[in-house]
Amino acid sequence: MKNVRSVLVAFVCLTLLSAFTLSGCLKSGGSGIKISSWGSPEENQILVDLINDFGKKHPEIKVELQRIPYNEYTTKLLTQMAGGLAPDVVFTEVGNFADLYLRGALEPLNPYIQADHIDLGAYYPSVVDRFTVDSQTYVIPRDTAPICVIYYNKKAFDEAGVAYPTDDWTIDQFVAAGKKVMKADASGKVTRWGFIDDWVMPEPWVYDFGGSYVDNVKHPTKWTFAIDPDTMKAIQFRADMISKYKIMMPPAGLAAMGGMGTGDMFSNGTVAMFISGIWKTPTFRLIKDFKWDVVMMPKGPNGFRGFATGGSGYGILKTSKMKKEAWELVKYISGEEGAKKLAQTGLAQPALVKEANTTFLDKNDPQNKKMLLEAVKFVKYPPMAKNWDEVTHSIIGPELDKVWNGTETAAEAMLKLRPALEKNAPQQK
Amino acid sequence: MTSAERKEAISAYVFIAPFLLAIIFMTGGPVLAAFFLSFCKWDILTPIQFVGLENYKEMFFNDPRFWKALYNTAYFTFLSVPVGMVLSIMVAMLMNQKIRGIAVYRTIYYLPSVLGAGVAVAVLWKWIFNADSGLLNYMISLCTGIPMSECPKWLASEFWSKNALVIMSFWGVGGGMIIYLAGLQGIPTALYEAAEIDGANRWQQFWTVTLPGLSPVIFFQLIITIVNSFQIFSQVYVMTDGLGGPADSTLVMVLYIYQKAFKYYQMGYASALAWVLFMVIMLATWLQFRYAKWVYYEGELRK
Amino acid sequence: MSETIPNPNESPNGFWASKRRNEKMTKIFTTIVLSIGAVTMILPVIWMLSTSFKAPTEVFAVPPIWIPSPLHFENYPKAWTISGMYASEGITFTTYTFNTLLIAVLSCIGVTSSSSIVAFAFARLRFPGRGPLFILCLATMMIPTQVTMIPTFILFKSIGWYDTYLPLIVPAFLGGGAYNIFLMRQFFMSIPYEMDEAAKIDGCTNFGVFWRILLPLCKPALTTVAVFSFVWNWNDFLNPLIYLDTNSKKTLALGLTNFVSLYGQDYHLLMAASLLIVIPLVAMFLIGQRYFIQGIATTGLK
Repeated sequence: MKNVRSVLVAFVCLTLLSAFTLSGCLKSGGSGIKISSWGSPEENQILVDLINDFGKKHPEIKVELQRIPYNEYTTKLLTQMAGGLAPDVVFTEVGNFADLYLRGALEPLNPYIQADHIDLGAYYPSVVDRFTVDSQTYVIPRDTAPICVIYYNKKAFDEAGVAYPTDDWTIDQFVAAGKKVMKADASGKVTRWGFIDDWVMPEPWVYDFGGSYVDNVKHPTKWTFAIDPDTMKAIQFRADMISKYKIMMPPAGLAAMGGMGTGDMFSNGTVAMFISGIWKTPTFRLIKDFKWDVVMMPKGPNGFRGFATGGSGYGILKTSKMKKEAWELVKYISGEEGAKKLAQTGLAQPALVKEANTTFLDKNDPQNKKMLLEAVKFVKYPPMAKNWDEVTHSIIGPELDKVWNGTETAAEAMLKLRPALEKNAPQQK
Repeated sequence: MTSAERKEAISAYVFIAPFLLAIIFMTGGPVLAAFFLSFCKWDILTPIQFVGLENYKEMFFNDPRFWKALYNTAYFTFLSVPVGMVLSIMVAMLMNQKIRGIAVYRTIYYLPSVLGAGVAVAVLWKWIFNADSGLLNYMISLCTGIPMSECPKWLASEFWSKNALVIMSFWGVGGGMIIYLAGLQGIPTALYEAAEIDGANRWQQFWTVTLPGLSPVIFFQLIITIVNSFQIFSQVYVMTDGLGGPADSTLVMVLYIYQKAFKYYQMGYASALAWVLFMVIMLATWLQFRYAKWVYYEGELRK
Repeated sequence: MSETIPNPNESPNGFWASKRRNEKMTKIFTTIVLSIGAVTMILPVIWMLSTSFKAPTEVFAVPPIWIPSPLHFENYPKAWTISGMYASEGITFTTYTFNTLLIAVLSCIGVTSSSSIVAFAFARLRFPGRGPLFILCLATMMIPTQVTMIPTFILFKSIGWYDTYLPLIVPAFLGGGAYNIFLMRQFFMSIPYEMDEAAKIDGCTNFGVFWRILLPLCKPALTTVAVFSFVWNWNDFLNPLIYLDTNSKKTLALGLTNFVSLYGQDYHLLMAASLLIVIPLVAMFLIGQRYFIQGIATTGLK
C-alpha cells in the first residue's frame, strides 16, 4: 500500500509542477516575427530601440528580439532550425552568411528589393557584393569592418622620437617604428612591445601581401593557400615579427590570453601598436593615460592593398512564415536610423555610405578614422566554401601554430599542408 | 518465483518507474536517433543522407585528427584521474576532523568547483597559465629560482598545454572531497575502536578499516571520474576558444565532436565519433566492474 | 601532504607517547597542511575578487595588481544593472535570480527524491533485469550530450515544452540522472543488509525499509547529491540557452553572457557579476556543510 501511495504522491507533484510551469508558457508563442542577434549591451540597445520605433510605425507586426551570446550563436540557431523554431530574421556576419547561404537557408531578397525600389547603391558596393551571389542579394548590410586599423599609442611614439605613421607607410617603416617603440627594463625584460594583433590573425598580412587562400572567393575550386608564394611570404613575415624582428609578443605570452586581453595590453601601454577592426574604439575611448589614434595598415611589399574584413547584416530565413513582415523589419533596421545610432557608438562603420561619411566622422577619437572610407575599397572576404571554417581552423590553423612557435618555417608548413588541402578541396555543394 | 519474490520484484519496478520512464521517453529516442545519424550525412539544414559505414571508415582510416583527439583524451584521463583520486581522498581524510574553522576550509576547497566553467573562470585560468606574466610561473620562479622566461610555456606549448589542463583539474578536488567525506561518515566508529583495541596504529587503521569501508565510494569515484575525463569539454572549450590549440594539442574527443556538429555542420560524423567514444568509455567501465573484487560492500545483495 | 599520515614504525613509547599530545600534534599538522592547500585553492578566487574592484586598464597590468587603488566599488552596482539589461522590459537581475532559484530548488527536490528511490531498488531489491538495467543506466552517462542535444530538443519541442522550465526540471524527477543513482546505490550498498532484514521481520515494507532505515543513514550522501544538483543547475548554461527563449524566463548564467560579445569584454564587471552569482552558493554551502559529517558515525550504528 505504501508503495502505491508514494508513487501517487510523486505523480501529483509532477502534475502540479507541470501545471505551474505550463501556465507560464501559454502566454508566449504569439504570432509575431522573431529576430535573433548577438552583441554587446550598447549594440543590443540600438536594436531594442529600433524595434520599438518599428512597433510604432507597424503596430500590426509584433517583433520578438532573441539575443544569443556570440559564442553560442550557431549552436542555438542550428538547434532551433532543426526543431522548426527558427527565427524569421537573422543577424549574420560575413562568415556565418556563407554557411547559411551555401546550405540554402537564406531567402533571396531581389524580389523584395525591386518591389520596394530599395537603392542598394546607397551601401558600399564591396559590402553589398559580399552578400550577393550570382546577382541575387541575400542580406542587407549593416556595417563593414576592414581589419586594417592599426591603433597606435602616441605617447610611445613621442617617447621614442618616432614620427606618427601616415596611411601611406610601408612595411619597412612599420617594422622600423615597431623596433623603436619597444622598451625593456634593466633585466632586459620587455615592458613595451612594438605590435600585437587582436587574436592570432594571419589573414590581414596574407591579403596585404597579395596572397590568397582560394582561387575564386565566390566559386572556389581549389585552395591556393599552400602554393601561393605571396601567402608564404606573408606567413613568414608574421613569424618574423615574433622571432626575427622581435617586435611582436611571442605566442607564449599571448596564447594564454587566446585573443582575450590583447586589447587590454594596448590599453595599459604594454604594446604600442595593435591591429583590429574599428570596433575597439568604444573600449579604447576609456584610456586616460595616453593619446592614441588609428592608421591604415601599411602597404604590402608589392605596393598592394587588401584587407581581411568582417561586417554584418540582416537576412531572412527561407523557413519564415511571415516573410513580408520580416522584410519590413529588415528594411527598417538596416535603414538610416539604425546606421546613425550605430555610428554614434563608434563601434562600427555603417555600410550606408551617407552615414559613414557624416555621423561616423564625428569629432570623437580616433581622429584618423576617415581612412576607413578609403580602406573599404580594398576589402577581401573569406572563401565561400562549406568547409572553409574547418579548413582554416582545423587544418591550416594547427600547422601555423608551429610556425608562430618557431618550430617550422612558413615554407615547411606550406609543404606539409599541400596534401591535406588537396584532399579537402573547397565544397560548395 | 515465490510470491514474496514476486512482491519484491513488483515493488522494485514501481521504485525504478521514474527511471524507466526517462529511459523510454526521454533518453532512448535521442540516443537511437544519434545512433542512426552516425550512418548518415546531415548538416542540420538540408535533408539527411544515408551513407552506411562511410563515417566510420573515414574516421578510422582517413582522419588523423580523430586519433589525435583520442590520444589527447586518454593522456588527460590517465594523468588527471589517479592524482586527482589520491588528492581528494587525502583532503577528505584531513577534513574529517574536528578542527577550528573546518567549515571554512571545506568551503574554500569546494569553492573552485562552485565557480563552474564560465567565461570568468576561463579568463582567470588563462591569466594563471600565462607564461610571461601569469601567476603559476611567477610562483614557480619564486620557489625554484628558475627565471620566468625558462618556465614552461603552458597553454602556448604543444607539450605543456595538456599538462596545464591536468593541473587545472586538481582545483576540482573539492567535489571528490565531499563524496569521500560523506563516505567516511558511513564507516562505523566501532570498527576503529575495535582496531585500536587490537593494537592497530592509525596507519594500519587506515589500511584495514578506512580504505575497505570507503571502497564502494572509491569505486564510484573511479568510474565517474574516468567517464567524466573521457568527456572533458567545457574547460578546454573556454580555455582554447573552442579550437583545441596550439597545433591540436588540446583537441579532446568531445571538443572534436562539438566542432564537427556545431561549427562544421557535420552532425552525422559527430554522432559516429560519439559512438566510438561511447564504446571506449563502456570498455573502460566494464573492465573496472570486471576487476572490482577489491570493492567491499557491507550490504551486498546475496542472490 | 603525506607527512600527515603517522609513521607506522613509530614506537608507541617515543615522542608520541601521550595520546592527547599525539592528537594535538596531528591537529596542528592538519591545520598547516590544510592552510597551505587552502591558499592554493583560493588564490584564483582572490584574483577574481581583486579584479572585480579594478578599473578596466588595471585588469591585466604587469606586475599584477592585487589591491587596486582606489577600489572601484561602483563595479558591483554596474555589473548588477548590465546583467539585467532588459530593465526596460521590467526584467532585472532579480528576475534572473528568482528563475534560477526556482529551477535549482525544484530540480534539487526532484533529484534527491527520485534518484534515491531508484538507487534503493538497484541496491536492495531482487528483480529480473536488474543487472542489464543498471548497465543501461550507467551507459546513459557515456554518450556526449552534443549529439543527443538536437534530437532531445526536437522531442521536447514536439510535446510543447519549448520555452518552459519543464526540460530543465522534469528530468530531475525521472531518476535524476545516472550519476546520482549510482552514487546513492554505492552508499546503500555499504550499509549492512541485516538492517533491512531486522526491519522486515518487524513488519516493515520495502518502502518502509528505504524511508525509515536506509535514508536516514545516508544523509551525508543525500546532502552530497542535493548540493551537487543545486550547484549544477545554478551554473547550467547550455540547457537554459537551448530551451528558454523569452527574456523574462532566463537564468543568471545566461544573464552573465551579457558581458561577452563579439567586440570586447569588460573583465572587471564580468568578475563582479560572476562573484555576485556565486555568493548564494557559498553561503548555502557554508551553512550546510555540517551535514556532511552527520551520519552513522554520529548517530551510532552498532
